[in-house]
Amino acid sequence: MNQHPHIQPDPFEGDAQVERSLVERVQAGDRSAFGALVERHMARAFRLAYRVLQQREDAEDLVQDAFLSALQHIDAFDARRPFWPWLSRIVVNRGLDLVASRAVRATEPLPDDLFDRGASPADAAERAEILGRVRHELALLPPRRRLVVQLFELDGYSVSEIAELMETSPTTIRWHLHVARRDLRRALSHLNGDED
Amino acid sequence: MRDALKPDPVLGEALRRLDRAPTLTPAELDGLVARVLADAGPELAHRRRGTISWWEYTVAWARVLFAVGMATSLVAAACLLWASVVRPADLAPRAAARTASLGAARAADVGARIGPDQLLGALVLSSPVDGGGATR
Repeated sequence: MNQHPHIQPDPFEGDAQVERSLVERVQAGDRSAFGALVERHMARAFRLAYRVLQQREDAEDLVQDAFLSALQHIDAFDARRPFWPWLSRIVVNRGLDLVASRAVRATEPLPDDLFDRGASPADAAERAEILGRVRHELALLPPRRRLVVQLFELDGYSVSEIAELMETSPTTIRWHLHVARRDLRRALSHLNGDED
Repeated sequence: MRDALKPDPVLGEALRRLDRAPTLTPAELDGLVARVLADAGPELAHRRRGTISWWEYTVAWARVLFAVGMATSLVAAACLLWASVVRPADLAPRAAARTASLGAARAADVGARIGPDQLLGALVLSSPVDGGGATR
């Protein structure tokens, strides 16, 4: 099973002064300051880009593009505000635009460790089938809704954080979450011993 | 701060099993950072220079310059239109005729009051005693 570190909303909140200084130096063209800013947010930005695009290479390109876009528009950014929400909005907006323009869905194969190795072959097959169904439902979700449910269930973002990230209202996010959960739970019902 | 809505542990576990989000190694992260920095080089250098070339300046001010140019053209066109309606030629002959008649009348008046010798002296000296005729 893959281990995914829980993404904290902003681990650099206490570093507001440092980050402000970095942003101001970047505005003046300081290369080392920009490097420090990129290093701070690269891992999270990449994970977010992957969530949107579901492809590693595309996520790398997206995150690179997002950092460059942030640099080009850094004069419009208020250095007193935290950098991550602004950057994450760039990543999500550009990523969703890219997904919309390509109109592709994730088609990666199922991971090898989909079911427990200790389970009987019959149980393992059943679990694999159910998870396959969940995966199918997940792939059928609109990209924006899929991103909402993954950020909430996997990455630990709150509804208000997702709303800010996607520049929409918390009510809209709750609706996306409600619909996505309903569809995915339906696919999971066998796993819980229920019948359709 | 978390919202009242809580993650679903069963759904979360299923999604986690299906999740293939790669975790980048430090070397891979460094590589990505280097890629970003390499691409950002020109933009950072441009910011360090702090100057912009004439064409960037022109592009930046193009809208304003266009608006100012249009406004100037309209004002100039209005001035030309006005000038064509109220021509100086209409005003000049009347003004010249009025000046000439006033001068002749003044000379006749002065000539009638004094002799020819004094008339020459009065014209040269332009005495106020003569009524300021030379200054009018």
